[in-house]
Amino acid sequence: MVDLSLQLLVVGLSQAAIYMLVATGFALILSVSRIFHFAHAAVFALSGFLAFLFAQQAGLPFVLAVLLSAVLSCLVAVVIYLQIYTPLQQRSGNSFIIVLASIGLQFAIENSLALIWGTGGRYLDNPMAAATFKAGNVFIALTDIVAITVAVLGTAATIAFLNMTRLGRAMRAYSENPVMARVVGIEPKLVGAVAMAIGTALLVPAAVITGWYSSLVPTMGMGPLLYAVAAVVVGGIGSVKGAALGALMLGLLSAAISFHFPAFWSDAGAFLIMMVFVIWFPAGLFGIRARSQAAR
Amino acid sequence: MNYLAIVVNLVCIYTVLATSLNLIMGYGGLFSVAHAAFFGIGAYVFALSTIQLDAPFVVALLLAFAAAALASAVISVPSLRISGDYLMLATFAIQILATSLFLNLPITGGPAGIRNIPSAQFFGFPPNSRVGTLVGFVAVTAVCWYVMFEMARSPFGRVLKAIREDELATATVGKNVMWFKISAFAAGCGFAGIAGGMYASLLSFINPDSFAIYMSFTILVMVLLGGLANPFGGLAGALALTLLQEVLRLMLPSAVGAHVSQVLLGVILVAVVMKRPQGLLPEFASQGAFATADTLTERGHADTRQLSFGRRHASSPALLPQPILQAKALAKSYGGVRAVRRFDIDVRAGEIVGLIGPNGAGKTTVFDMIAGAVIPDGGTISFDGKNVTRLAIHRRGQLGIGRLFQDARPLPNMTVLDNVLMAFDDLRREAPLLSFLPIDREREHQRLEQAHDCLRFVGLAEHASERAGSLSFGQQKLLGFARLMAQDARLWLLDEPAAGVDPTMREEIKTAIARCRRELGITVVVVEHNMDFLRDLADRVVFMADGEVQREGALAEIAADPELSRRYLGA
Repeated sequence: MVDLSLQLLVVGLSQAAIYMLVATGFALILSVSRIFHFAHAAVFALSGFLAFLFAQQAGLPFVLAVLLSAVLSCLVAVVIYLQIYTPLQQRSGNSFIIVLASIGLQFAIENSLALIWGTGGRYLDNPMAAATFKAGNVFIALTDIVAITVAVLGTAATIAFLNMTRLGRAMRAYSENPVMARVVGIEPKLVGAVAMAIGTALLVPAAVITGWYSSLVPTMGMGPLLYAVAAVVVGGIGSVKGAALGALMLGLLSAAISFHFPAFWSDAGAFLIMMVFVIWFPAGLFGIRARSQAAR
Repeated sequence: MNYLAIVVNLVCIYTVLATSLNLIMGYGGLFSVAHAAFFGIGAYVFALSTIQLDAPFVVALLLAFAAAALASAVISVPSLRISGDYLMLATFAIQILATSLFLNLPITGGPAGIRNIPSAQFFGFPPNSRVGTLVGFVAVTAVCWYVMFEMARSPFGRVLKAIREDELATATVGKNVMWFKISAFAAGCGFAGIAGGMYASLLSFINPDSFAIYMSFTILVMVLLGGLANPFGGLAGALALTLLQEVLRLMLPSAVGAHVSQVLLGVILVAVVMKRPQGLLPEFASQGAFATADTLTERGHADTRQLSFGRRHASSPALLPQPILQAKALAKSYGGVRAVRRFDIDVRAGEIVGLIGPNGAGKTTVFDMIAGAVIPDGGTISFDGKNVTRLAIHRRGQLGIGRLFQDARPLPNMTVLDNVLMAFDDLRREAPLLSFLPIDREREHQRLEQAHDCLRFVGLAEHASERAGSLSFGQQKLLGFARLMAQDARLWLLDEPAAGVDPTMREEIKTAIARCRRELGITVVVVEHNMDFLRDLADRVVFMADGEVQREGALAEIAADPELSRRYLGA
């Protein structure tokens, strides 16, 4: 029984690692720019396919391929931010307009990927595929350890950046009080673009790990994005730390559910919890309450 | 021919779907990404009731409507307490949960779905007749579209739009905002259920893939592309999108065509949002859809004419001695800040009382408590002998407490006339189930006349068909008075009516207040900083500072008090 729980923990953690990376970036973009960046899912898939393109189709060294993918993905995301989101935000304060634009981008990018790489699934070669440890009766793959480590380091680095650097503090200031931040000279476009770039950079390892575990398909981002949205609500809108912890919890929960019930139920628990939070505890675990009370 | 028939049928289904979401989003202002969930509920209920209960097509459609509407009502009662981004997130969770249920419930057939749904038989056409299905689908769609069209332009739809424009202002006038939202959501979701039934009947096979979040997104695209809050927007969006998909499917190999059309869908959505947010067909400002401008021109100016209608509710003749409003020991704190420490007031019917005092004295908080926007921490408020301390905001509006907000809070994207019309409280077609019926037209006509009278009374008659947002600030305040008249408010709480307007308009506003008191017998409490404005208007003034009443009496007396001047007015 203990072995089973531990094995479950390993499986759950490696899944939660991906959710954590996606959710941290999504939450960062939401808290700094107040944008529900649903196209995050498509950029996630894009970064995976770019890594595939450079590493396997072009035959570049793995590290270089991942770096190139990161640079290009961030570029795409920042262009989306500056060319589409920013003008819309300046024109109207209505966040739904931006949600709609984001959904449009999601459709466009995801289906472009399908046109280029097909929907059959592309496999990323995993250099660590064979390395597996056995502790008691529990199996741990090296990939699991790498995934969990990368997720924890990525999230921790993001939070450290927000707390310890000048630019990070400016981003937090802007997130908490945009008007005041502008008064003291913080440039909204700059902090927004940086948030977008960091959020996107966090996607790249998550996409590569997904490619190692299963395969790259154009719709691969939707699942993690759904969990990111749920995690942001549970953690509290405005809190990056909350979103990361929320993703961890929901990822583990869904692993636990899928262990005991048919696999399709695994989403139900997470989104039931999200529902309860959004209605009765909208501030979440770490949220900034006052901000989002305002209707429309 | 067969192919064309199927395309037309699909357009029918999408039209019902998009029009129903338009009712929720365009008119109700509720952003939902869960529409496909209710589409799915309808489809499953239709399929199960035709297979297991042998229900005929129309009965199964009605069951689909009922199930989807009921499910939406159950969900919306807690969800609609929240609004804005949070409501969107709640519908997001609902959509994922619904997909999960479709995949897992034993009754839905899991991922494989339900097969062999019997096809419908219409009007003596043989079963499986293409023509029969076509005629039947067009007929059902026409009925659904017409009902939604009538709902949207009925008094019910007008209140919905008002809520979309300004929830607090609409509640203050006496509308139960929650009820309207739940009704709109349930009606829209019910029609999505009907679309689901048609879909199940057409394809004779359903599975959860058709009702996933991507479908919700697609419906959103149709609504936005067609035009939010335009009665033909759903049809236009459904037509445009289906044509796009089918043309590409014919031109390109099927797998490629599907993806290309989805890419285009996304690009179109972004382009529409960026370049033409009003969609193909923009919204009409006028609620009636068929403008009232022609009836307007024949009306002359009759500014000085007496209002043509008396009070609809129990009349309260002017200057009765009994107090209409009594507040005792009101207190309210925000966090550690005691905005109002102790506030007492007695206002007699027909009085005009000025409420003055320095900024931060708690005057607006007092108004918030009397009108119901804020519930006091302590104390009681009675209106007309009735304790209203904890009454909901719209109940107070219905009792006759009216309020003009400091920023007037007009409904900017509605006509001036509709701004007034929405405040009447006795139109039968404000009830969602009656809203599409041909009833109560005589009273509606009467109210229309009265709305014009109200506008004439405040001198806005010639602006009746303009957007309220295009009026000047002063005119918006006058419009607020017309709205208070239509609401039949007996107590008018006016928050700085003269602030921010030019001196001529200030005089006009002052005259309007005095005249309303004289001719309508209303009672007024007015917060004002401008002493000249109050000088020959207010019967007496209450001086408030530091959350407490400091002095009461004639304005001249208070203004002359050296102690008050020194302490609070800095003179």
